[in-house]
Amino acid sequence: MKWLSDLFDSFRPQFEKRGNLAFLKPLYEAIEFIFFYPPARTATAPHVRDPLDIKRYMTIVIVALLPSILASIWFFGPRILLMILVSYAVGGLVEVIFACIRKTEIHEGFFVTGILFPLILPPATPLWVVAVGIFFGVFFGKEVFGGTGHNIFNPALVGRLFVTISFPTILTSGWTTPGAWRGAVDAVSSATPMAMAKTQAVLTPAADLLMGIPSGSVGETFRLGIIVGGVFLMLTRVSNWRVPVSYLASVFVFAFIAGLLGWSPITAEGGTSAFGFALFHLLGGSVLFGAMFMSCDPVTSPFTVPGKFIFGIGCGLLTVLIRVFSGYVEGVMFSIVIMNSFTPLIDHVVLQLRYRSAETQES
Amino acid sequence: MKFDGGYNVMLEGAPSAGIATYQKPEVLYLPLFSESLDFSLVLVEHGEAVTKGQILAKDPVNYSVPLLAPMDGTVNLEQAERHITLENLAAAKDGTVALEDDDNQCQNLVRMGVWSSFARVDSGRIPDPENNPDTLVIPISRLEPFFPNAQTLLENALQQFGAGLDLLHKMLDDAEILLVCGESDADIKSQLGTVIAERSSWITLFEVPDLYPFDSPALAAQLNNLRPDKTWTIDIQAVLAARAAIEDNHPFVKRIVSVSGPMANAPGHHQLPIGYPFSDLGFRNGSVPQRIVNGGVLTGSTIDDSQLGLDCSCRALNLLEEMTEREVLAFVQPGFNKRSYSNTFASFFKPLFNEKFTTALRGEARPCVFCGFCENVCPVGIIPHLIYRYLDHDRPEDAYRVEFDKCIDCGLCSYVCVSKINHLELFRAERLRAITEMIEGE
Repeated sequence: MKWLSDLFDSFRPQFEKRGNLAFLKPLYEAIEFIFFYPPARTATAPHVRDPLDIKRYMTIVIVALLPSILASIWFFGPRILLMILVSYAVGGLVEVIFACIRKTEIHEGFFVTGILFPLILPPATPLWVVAVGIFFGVFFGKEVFGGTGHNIFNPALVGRLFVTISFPTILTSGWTTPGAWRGAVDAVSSATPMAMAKTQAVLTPAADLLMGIPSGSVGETFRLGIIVGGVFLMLTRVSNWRVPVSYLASVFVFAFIAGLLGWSPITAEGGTSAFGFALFHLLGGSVLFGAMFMSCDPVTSPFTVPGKFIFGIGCGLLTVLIRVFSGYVEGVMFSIVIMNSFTPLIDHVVLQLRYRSAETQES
Repeated sequence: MKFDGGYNVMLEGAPSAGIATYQKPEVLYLPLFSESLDFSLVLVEHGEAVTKGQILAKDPVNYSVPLLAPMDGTVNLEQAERHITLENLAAAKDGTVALEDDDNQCQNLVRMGVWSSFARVDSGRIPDPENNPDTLVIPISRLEPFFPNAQTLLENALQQFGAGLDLLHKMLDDAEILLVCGESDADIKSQLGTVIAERSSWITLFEVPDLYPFDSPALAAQLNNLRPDKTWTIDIQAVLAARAAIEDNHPFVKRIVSVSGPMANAPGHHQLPIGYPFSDLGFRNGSVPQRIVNGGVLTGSTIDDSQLGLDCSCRALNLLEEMTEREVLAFVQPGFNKRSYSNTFASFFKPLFNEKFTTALRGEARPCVFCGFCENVCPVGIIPHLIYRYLDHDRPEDAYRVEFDKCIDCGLCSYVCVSKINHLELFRAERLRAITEMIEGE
């Protein structure tokens, strides 16, 4: 790799302080540091460091998403690759521009946002909507707050929320049937399981949901892959199990209660047990994807341990409330964004309680 | 007892047991400083002939603890800056030093060079010889890579160790003694069994998980609810040195030092006089750039080129290769040879192994992403990233409100940090600021 290293060395002066392209230094360094680690050493104790860095940390999330990505290409065709490409290109541009203006490094968090965003869109979303959404998400969801680590809301969800509200017809009609692009099924588009449950009181069987047979957002249909990816993420310690597990558990429990109390026509008129109702809500829609990959974003969820549980349970409660009582068929996106806004408050209260009780104990 | 956090950094180059022989030095370079001491008051003149145990200099700030001559020789004050160079070395004719004051054994330990091995667990500073602690904590197992191991230090010295404990107990006004020992250190535990059994009314064996930093005296004090301001600590060597000083009149001028780490030629223990030249240990003449760490690799300090010989506080030297080769596409490699606190490397499927660390930062500095690793490894259950943020925003009072005073400076938070933030550096700076403020207040 000496030749590559020499190549970088020959370009570097152009991007240094007096170089012609100095304003593009963040972009140059981002590219160089992908190939070669920065020559940084520890200055003081600890003299040695763990090998995990933020690049690998983010890469692991993408690896965990691979089952969903590959399945989505199989279900919805190579068009998905285009959506991902557009998302990365437009979002990346915003990231690079901000880094160059701020004269800071390009942060890796974008690699996750850029892939998450197309995965939570309907498969037939026009590419220009993808571009608008990711632009809004990265710009207003992250950069205006100060970039990676400072954002309050999950940037991908901000983008999704924006396009949902701005282009409601496009975002509610793009439900391609999985496999339709290669002629595996007859119907070109079909209602999502959540919509069928709400409007026709029909519950899709759990096995179909797990294998991704009914339609849905790009990355949310192959639920078995989401479970595998999510568990992988927890085992690697990249995601903390507390948020996803409490989220999923509370969706199940609250949906079960809703089923028992007959709050939904499906259970009220008999035929479906509360358990079946709860299982459907656990597997249906984007709960699994949201819990495994969106809710546990460490920046936008509480860092305190009790806070993580509160956050997860709050997401679960809101999701079930929106699904059962509101006009919307799906509540995952709203519930996570709403809970994101409570994150600072949750942490604040937990810390207040924890350290106040410590103080009273001492006195 | 509830133990949270902790993690073992497994470094290549553990010191082998037993004490290796060393080459007799021609000259000694005695640094007029160490991590916590500053011998600013020099009491000898250039060209003066000195004998073993003679006081060369004192640290007026730290209860006048002395720097002693380790051998007979001639003083040279001009050879090296901030060092006393001792030339024309000769083996001491007698080598013992008469005790000055039979009633005040603490002052005797100051005179014999042992007192600088005592530390208060709250501040890490040398305690006042006129005071007494409630408890003296002695770490037996050392879990930070690498320090001299207890097996080597206590070989054929168990009886002396017991006698040293007796002496310290009596001298420090019946202070309790807490020995901190790793759970699986069965050999040492059985050896210490008789020592403890005979003194069970005032010695306690505190068993801890074999995880760094549970050997920390400050942590042991917290876990046993000891008052930090009334808890002191010393190491095994100092116990033995205290006995030798009081009973045999031997000044504490030689230390058993472990020389270890991935770059050490033959990792092992050496008994070396203070001021022993690094050049005689074969450092600083290899082709690969090295970093010599004074102490463990997680908490020790870098020995810079201006220091020529062993300082009086040194117990361990760890040799690391300075990173010079930049890794190619490191973040996508499977990583069979990289052990991580996270389970994100293929080494997860391998049995535990020692890693050949270098001084590479292994990534880029980034803003905190709240991954929570620092909180998970923290042995005292504080939230390092939160405290870091408070201190970074110049809000120390908030940092103390969230129990910053519990921090024991183990450095694990910085070690695991995904964003390569050095919490330890900022925490130490704040503590130094607080201590300085306290001293100025006094």
